[in-house]
Amino acid sequence: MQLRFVLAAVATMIFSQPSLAGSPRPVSLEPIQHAPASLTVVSKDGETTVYSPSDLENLTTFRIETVTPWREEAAIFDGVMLKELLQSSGLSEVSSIRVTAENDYAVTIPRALWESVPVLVATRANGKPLSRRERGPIQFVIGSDDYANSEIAVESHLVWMAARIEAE
Amino acid sequence: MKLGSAQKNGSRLTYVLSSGWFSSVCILTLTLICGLVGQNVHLTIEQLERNKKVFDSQNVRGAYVAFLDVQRILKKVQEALAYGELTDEWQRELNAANDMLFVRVENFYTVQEQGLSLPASDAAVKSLRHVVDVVDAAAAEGFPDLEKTWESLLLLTEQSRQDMMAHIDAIHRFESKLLSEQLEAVKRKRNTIWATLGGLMLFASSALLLLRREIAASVARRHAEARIAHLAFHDSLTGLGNRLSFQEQLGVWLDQDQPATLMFLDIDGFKTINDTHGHAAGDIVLQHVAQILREIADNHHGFASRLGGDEFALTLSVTDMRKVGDICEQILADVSKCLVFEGEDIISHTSIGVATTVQIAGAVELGVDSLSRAADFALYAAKSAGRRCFKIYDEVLEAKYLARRNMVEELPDAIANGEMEVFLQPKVRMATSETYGFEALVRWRRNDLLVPPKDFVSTAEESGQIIELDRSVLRQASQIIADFNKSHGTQFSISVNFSALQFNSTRCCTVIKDVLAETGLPPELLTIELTETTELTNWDRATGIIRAIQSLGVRIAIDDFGAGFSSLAYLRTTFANEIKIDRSLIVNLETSERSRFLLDSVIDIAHNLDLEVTVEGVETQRQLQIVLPMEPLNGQGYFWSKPLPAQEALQNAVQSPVQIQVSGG
Repeated sequence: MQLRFVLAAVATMIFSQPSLAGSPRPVSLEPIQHAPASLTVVSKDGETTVYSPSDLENLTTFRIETVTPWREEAAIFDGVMLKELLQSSGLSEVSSIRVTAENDYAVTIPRALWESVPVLVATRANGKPLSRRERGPIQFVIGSDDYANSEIAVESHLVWMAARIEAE
Repeated sequence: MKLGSAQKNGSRLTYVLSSGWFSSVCILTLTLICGLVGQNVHLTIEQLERNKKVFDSQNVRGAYVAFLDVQRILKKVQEALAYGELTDEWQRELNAANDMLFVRVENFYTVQEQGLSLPASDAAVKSLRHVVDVVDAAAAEGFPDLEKTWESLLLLTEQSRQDMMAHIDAIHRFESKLLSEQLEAVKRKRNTIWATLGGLMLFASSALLLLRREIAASVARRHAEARIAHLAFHDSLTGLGNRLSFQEQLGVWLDQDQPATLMFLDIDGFKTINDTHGHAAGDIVLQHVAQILREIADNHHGFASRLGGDEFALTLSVTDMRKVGDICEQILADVSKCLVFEGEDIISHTSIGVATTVQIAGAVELGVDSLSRAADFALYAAKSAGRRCFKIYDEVLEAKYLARRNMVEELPDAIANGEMEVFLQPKVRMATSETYGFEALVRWRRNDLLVPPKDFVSTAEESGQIIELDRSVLRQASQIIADFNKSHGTQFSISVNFSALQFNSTRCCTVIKDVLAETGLPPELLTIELTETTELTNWDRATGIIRAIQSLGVRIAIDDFGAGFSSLAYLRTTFANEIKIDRSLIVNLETSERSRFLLDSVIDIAHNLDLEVTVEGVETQRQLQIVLPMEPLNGQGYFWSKPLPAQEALQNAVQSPVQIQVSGG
């Protein structure tokens, strides 16, 4: 009995090295100065809520350390869960959402994605506000492991310069 | 059997094809081909995947979007120029737009680095970057001269547009080329696959054809083997099992302790049928018999076999003797049914010998040989009994037969070794009962037992040993009498029996002459007795020999006169000195007047012909009384004396000459 526990503990330690894309863990953030940016969320009944990065950070904040298709070196991303964001606007049950970026890029994200995979709506990278040239100020981030293992997530879901979310 | 060259080549080819190493090579080659084709296809698919990645990377789309980003910047600058004032918000928006272009260029760059580095792409990236730098520079200084900035931007964006168009075209061409190459590659694959499939099909077809040929050959071989096996065990004319098959089958039956009845059958006079009607007719008869036997075998869970020639065997599981008898009767009846062959009627009969396992179980070890031997003996018995019948094996009979055969085999040695003893029976003058001579009778002292003549004389006659026997008796008897006469001063005569076989050869005269010379016996004291029932095959020669014997001075007597059918013929043609009347004419004398008449007449005839008459078989006084008046007569019989060993008889004759007073007239 004792031995089994020991072995299990050892195994856990070996196999659960904090990977470069661990699951998002909750974090509490000190308020900082963000660049002007906004994310407009339109609920099903047309009600719009505009979030600034600081507004977003009022929701439960999480942290992911991961690489992205555009970053070879892992970065620490802080933000909120897309699912929670959608829930607060009553959009979590819709079948899909349309996300539009500042440069008019648009993509449809199916519900299956935010139900199966943790999607971080990131506002900070490595403790600093996510700049536009870094593909912020609001970027959708998925941990590289989750991304690789998911059959739904594709590159187009990792929206840069996210500006608007509405029901599809 | 010489193989034709085609056959030889065929078998060489077959040999090669069936060899292990050839199969291994074939299998290896096939595996290799399949592996190569598979690998080829796999490489093609990898190529396709790589190509897909190229298309997926959306290089063209990136360029188009870059156009929009550039446009956004120009629009913003134009706005400011039109509005005339540079607000903070405007600056922010312009910077934002430049950021977007910056990210776009960076993305471009990233794709480039992943290996597409086309010169056109390089140029496009450079010009876009130039735009970003110019806006950055102006923003850093706070846009001192917007007009100038505007003009340079127009130029730069014009340049970048051209470069990006070139990039787009280059990408298009590249992607087009990829598609063509893909198509070619797939076409080649198709050709390869066609070729491989064709080859495999050829290979498979040849293999199938060869296999089919092999199977056909194997089937044919099996048929041939079956046929050979059949031929080895079956008679081709009748379809019955042959001797080999019979022995095997019966052996199996007996091993399984199955009760069995074995019948051996012989077609009576088969050779005659063949000679008279031809061999085709003979075959018909054989098939006819075979069919009868086959049906019976089928009905009684048995089997019929043709052992060879005209010999058949029928083995049945029936052992109830009554049933067996019925079956034999049925066979006899069926075989005797008339056959018609080419307009001629052919009738054949059969003899059957039957033996059952029940019968011989006790005596000997039960086996094919012992059972066959018993059935064989039964068949021999059937044939001896006159054919066209069946006989069931009789142990006792066989024992007798064997004993008899043994005796026959021992006879020559017995004769040579002097086991044949001469007994003498006195011959008397009936009127005076005076012994005047003896008849020599042979007895065989075998293992201290006296074998009576009836047991071996006929056998000796059949085997021709009688000649040697008679001569031996002649010598012995003559010697005994001659010696006795000399030593006792008597004049006894001796009669010796000769079989008809003796009279086929003049040698017998020579023998008689030699014996007379050797023994010194006066010829007139020797009488040769010849039975009138024997058939002389050559009358003329026989008559000549008889005359020759008589010319020596030896007498001839006809024995058993009146017992056969040719008595008168004998009297007429043969020159005898004496007749011995058979006991059959004496036996009813007392009761039958007819007998008396006959006897009287015969004696009368004999006397008229000047023949000495001896009456045999007188046993009673009464017979003697009846016969006596018909004198002159000699007598021989139990009344006076039975045959006794030579010396004893002689002694009796001398010491107490039989004097019987006969009363009455």
